[in-house]
Amino acid sequence: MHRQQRLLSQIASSLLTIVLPLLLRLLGVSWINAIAIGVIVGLAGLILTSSLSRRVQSFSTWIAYLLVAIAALLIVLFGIPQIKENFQAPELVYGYVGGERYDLLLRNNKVKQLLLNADLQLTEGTVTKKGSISQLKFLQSSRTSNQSLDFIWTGDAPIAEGGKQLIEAQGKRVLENEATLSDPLVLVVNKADADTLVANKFFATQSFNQYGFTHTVDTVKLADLLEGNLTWKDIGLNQYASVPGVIMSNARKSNGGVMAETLIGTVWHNMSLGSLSDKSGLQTSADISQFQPLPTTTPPNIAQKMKQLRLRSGFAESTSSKIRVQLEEGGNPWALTYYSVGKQITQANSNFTLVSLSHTLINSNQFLSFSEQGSKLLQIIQSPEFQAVAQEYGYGNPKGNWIVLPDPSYEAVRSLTGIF
Amino acid sequence: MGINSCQGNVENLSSPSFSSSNRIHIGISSENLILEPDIKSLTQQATKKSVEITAKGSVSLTEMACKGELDAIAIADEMWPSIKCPEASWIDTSDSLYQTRIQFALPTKTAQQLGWDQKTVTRQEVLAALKSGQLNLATTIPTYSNSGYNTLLWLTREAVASNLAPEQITPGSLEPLQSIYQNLAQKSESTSYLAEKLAQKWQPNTLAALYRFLYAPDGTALYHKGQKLPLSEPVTLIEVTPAIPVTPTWFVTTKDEVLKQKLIEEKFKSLESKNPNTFKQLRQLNPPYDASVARETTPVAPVHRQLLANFHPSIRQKRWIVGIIDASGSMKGDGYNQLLAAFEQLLLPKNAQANFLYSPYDRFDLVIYQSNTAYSIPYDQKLNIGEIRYNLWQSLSTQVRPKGGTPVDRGLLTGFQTALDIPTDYKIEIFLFTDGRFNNPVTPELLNFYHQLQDRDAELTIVGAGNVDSPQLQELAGKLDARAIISQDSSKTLDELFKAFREAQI
Repeated sequence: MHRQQRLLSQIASSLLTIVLPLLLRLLGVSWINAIAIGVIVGLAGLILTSSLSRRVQSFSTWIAYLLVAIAALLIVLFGIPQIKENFQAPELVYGYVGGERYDLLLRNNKVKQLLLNADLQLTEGTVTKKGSISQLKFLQSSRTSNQSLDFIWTGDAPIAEGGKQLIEAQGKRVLENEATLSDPLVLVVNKADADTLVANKFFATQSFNQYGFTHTVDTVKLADLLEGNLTWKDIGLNQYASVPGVIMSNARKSNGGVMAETLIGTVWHNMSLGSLSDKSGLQTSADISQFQPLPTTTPPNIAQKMKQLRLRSGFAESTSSKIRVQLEEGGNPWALTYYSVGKQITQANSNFTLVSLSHTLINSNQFLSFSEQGSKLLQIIQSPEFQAVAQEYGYGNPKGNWIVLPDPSYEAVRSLTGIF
Repeated sequence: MGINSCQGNVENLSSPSFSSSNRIHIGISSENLILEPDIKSLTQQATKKSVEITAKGSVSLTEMACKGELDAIAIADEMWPSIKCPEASWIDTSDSLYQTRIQFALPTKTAQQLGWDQKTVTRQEVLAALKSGQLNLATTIPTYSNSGYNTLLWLTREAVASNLAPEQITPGSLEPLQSIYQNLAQKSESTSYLAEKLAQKWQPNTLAALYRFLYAPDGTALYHKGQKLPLSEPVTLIEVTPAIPVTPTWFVTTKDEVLKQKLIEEKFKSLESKNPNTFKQLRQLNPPYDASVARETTPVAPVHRQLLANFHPSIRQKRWIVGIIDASGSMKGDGYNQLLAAFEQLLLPKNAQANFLYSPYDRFDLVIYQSNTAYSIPYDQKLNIGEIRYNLWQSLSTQVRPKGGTPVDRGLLTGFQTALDIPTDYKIEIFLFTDGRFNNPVTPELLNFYHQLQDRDAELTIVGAGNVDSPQLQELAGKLDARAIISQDSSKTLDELFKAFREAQI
């Protein structure tokens, strides 16, 4: 009889040791806690279901009660919080994201899982696709609705600085202002035209092709052409009726447009400092020994040239993510935009290729966090898992032989582009 | 279903209605109606809601979307929202559908005579032929329809400058285009409807500007509302340089974020996979450009706004509009109220400017008929035109009340006599606004006046306003060789009136 009871007791306790951890795990308790609780409760069960007379004599009952108490303590201390956390809905996070990063953050299944693991949830309702400059304008115009914002994922450092100033002026604290994805400006060019431009020595063939660059161009030569004193025919392109310009997104709305104008404006400013602007023929970077950043107040001659360039460059999209339409319509052979956007365009349409710039600016895609949730999201974005997914969207952190020009101040950018 | 088949009706003038929780309201421009069945079924699948389609010109649909009256639009070119409401929250929620172009065509015999059948024709040559009257243009209203606007822009870039700046668009710089737009061969408010008109009558010297895929590739037919309309004489598609590319685009304009996601992911992004043949055929019908065709940039948005604002004041012929208004007792109600609302938009300069209907040179006369009399609303000739417009509107809205019988014969007679006194440098547009509840008003005396007006190239449009007796109005239109615009119920009168005003502007 005793042998049979002992056998039943052993079976029941073993089952309890196996089933209880599984059950606790299902409820959201971590494996370590679940197994510890299961083993302790199993042991206690084994003792308590043994023969009563033997237990009384051996004081094992007290040991069993002690084990049950430990198990209960473990459940209270670790199990219940973990179960509660498991059943809690992920926290909604509110913010703005520049157009070209929207799909990456909102629509990628791997990113969704990373967010879920961190108990964060981003939906089309909580995150708005908005160009970086539109973000600033919105921050400035709607003070009351900014209070619920957890983050803005904006553009380059000068624009982020502008956003930070606006937010802080409204009494909201900026917890973090961090660089996330590194994205240089490049040229996206009609492939046939790129070959023509190599033949005419405007482009050079790129030997370093790991990141998809087939050609390279001297940025000073490009900026000099964009002053508008030459025609497309002068560089061998016969099918374009307009005066040379470059497709850019709208600098009054998009960080991509601001950076494109800043790059060209910086080169023009340095050409002006070196008295190269009026020289005949196209100048090159060899003619400038040291590049200075854009001054806080844009010189009138640069402002006027930029105004003319905008007109020649034509219809400007409100976000860099829509530049492909203008390229495909074919009124202009090239677009000055982010590497990530260029990568997506060249993947979608084999008629275009990537051309690296000898001198460029790199968008750091600053992330401004205003709350604990915002900072949690920043940690995810900076994680290796997220960065790996970002590569699929063109954020491949490309390397090249380019020289990075000095970032201007927010005031300098504002003066050049007239964003406010 | 063939590439040019569609269930939609570009002349469907359903009144704008706000999207509700039970209905999805989508606007589709005429060239995109080929995608209507797929758009409708995918939307129903994604949302489990009923779908209402409004078919209008791209400019008009964009304006509706800007006002929040639509959940999504499929329009002829992606630039319109940036021109009309650049700060709209949905402006980035878009993608292109396919690519096409504005395609010119001429009757083959004329093309051969000009030598245009074997070469790429320059814009300079096209502009010269149109300005000299050698050719007449058939186009749509630039301030309403994308194809008409792109054609106007293309010609303006030749007349003014390829790289247009807003300040270059002035009455003086646009003057060279006046003769073209004052002698149009055919005109319409929508590209699809223009195709129908051309299929009925295509004069030997008419140069048409339609979308590429509205022509049968061999030039023997045009497509309208899914039907292949044969042409009596074949036409030749004229290759021009620079090209006029157009990129039809969808925008999801709803503020409902859940609905937005469904419409993007399950509708628009699924369109091509739902019906790959349609897109394949579209690509075939819009082949790549010839190497000889030059390309140019699309101008910045302020250029478009400036050109749109200047078309009516600076290019089209100045109009003298004579409105003959039925204010009989039967007009009481919704239809008459909508008639007043339309006149408020037309007469008050600020409203007319907002609707791209305004020219400072336009003049008006309003003739009222009711009980047993007809009279012109008086105004002081010494006033400036802005004040006259305002006075006419004040008198119409505050002093005229529908009552009594319907002396339409007296109304027409007074209106025609008024029109005959109009100075000869004005284009005369006569509108009869009525519900058609009257006996035959056509008398020999009336016909005599009317023939005199026809000699002056006056145009008569009969607009069905209110609770309309459609057969009666059609019969009257037939007798007077007038254009009839008739809505099926009074709630749609406002749309009918706007359509009439728009068509009278070009």
